[in-house]
Amino acid sequence: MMDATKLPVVEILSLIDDGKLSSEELVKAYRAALEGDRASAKPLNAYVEFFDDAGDLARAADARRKAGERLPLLGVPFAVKDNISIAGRALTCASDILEGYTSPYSATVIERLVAAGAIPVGRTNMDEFAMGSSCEYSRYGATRNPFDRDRTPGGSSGGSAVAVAAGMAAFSLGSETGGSVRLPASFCGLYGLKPSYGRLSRYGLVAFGSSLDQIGICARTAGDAALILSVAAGRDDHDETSADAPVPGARLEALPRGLAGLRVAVPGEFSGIGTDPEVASAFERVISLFEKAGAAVERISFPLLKSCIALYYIIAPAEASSNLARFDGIRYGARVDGGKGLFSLYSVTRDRGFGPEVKRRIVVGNFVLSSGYVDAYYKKALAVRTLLVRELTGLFGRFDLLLSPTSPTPAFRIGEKVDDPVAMYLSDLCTTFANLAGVPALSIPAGATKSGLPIGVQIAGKLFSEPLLLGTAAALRGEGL
Amino acid sequence: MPDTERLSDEALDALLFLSRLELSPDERSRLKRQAGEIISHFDSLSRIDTSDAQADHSGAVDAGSLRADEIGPSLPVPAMKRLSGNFLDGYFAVPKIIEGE
Repeated sequence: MMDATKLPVVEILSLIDDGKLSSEELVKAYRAALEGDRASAKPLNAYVEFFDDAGDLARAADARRKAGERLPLLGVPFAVKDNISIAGRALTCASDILEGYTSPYSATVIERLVAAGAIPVGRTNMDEFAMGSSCEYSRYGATRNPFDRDRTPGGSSGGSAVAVAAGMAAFSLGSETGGSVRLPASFCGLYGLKPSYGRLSRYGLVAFGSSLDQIGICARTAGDAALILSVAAGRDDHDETSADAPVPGARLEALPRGLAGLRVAVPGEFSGIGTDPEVASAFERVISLFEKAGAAVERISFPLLKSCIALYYIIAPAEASSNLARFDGIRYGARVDGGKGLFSLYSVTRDRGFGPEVKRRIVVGNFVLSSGYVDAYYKKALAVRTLLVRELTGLFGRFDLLLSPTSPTPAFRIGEKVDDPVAMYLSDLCTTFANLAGVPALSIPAGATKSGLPIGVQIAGKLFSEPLLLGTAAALRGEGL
Repeated sequence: MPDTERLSDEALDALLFLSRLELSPDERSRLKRQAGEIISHFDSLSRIDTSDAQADHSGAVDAGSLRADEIGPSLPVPAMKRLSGNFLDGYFAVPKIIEGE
């Protein structure tokens, strides 16, 4: 019997159209994969909840199809990171502080996917409030990498990546503030798209760093990512930062394809010292593929890229310290009231509700915003960000793509960096620049290490160049990547 | 400056107050050390010349035109009620905020 759990969305739709597969069978197969995994010695822990009524929703989708209804994603099950609102469902951001919270409305992206017929089947594990690079800082415990269960899947959208990689969803949504979709996609052998800032509405996504946040997509193929993006993208009156830009087409055939003539920049700042030899080797192979196909690859120096980690870890915590001020025990989720007054209620609720990484970022964020330090750190970071955007805009005037590894290393071991925040932050070395500048970036599977750990490479382009990124990824696939 | 001295105890007290956090002594000591290590990494930015760059970048896309200032449908009351276990006479009940004798 056919195993449908690892099929891309495009093939699933074709099989459903031909009557060879039903949405209900597919949801049943994903649930069986999840239940089988939960019984294993080291469960992956991808989902924090697989919805009890997912099968009912799938049956309803099958009935609509039988009645002649046709929608772009009718009956396609997908997984949702636990920081994206689905009306009537729990949402915790993997944090104790949101225990008991139920979303009163759906994120615009969820509404659009559901309107296109897709079925949200569950909530996935994540680093608390999307702060982390390993999917370990979670009230639900760590998520494991399906390629080596002693390693992390990357974070913060680790559960979303694992749900797809392990055959428990057709695609998934994650969120990106500094690389949180691309890194897990890279560690789990998937395509991970961080769209341009403004491409997808942030309405219903729990805010972390509002000038950086974007909902992202984990998919098995570039074609799947293109299809999902085409459905979810577009201006939304609920999010004034959503862009009124033309929505990309769904079909890869309509996207720019072919590598010949592409101008590709390879910044030295993202490779060399600290890069795992097998990652370096896989990356060089991708460069060769570009060159053999007629692209003009140029190795460049872009010194500001080296400062992006510092830049990011000033701006993101500063924004987080403000955004997370709303979790005070009054308005959402858990409340710890020892009867010692309002300030005590706030501080004890937050102390018990937040985990260590969230507390670190709130304190660091308040530090860089505090009197005496705001000029030296926060305002300086904003000025450097202005420079970064200016220089990157110039670079994308001369080049079509910026190419790098997605991560300097393959998946690292669970526990390896959990008590060393600076080491953990360096996992984001190659990814934060895209969030800081708002440009789109795509992690593409690029082989594996000898021990079988996936390796990813990343392409980034100018604002709203997702069609070029997805078309290039498909072309690389055609070249044997 | 050693990373552990990046934050004085007084500064940490003020930050914890701003952050509305109460930490155990162990947690406080760990946070002081780790925050110091993190802040020391920020020093690299001081070497970048930003004399011709404004500190005004807050995202790559301008907010654009605002939506029409018209009243739209609000969230359904049953959904809002789920936000609180204490919903009384059409209002959320919250803890007493006026303190003192």
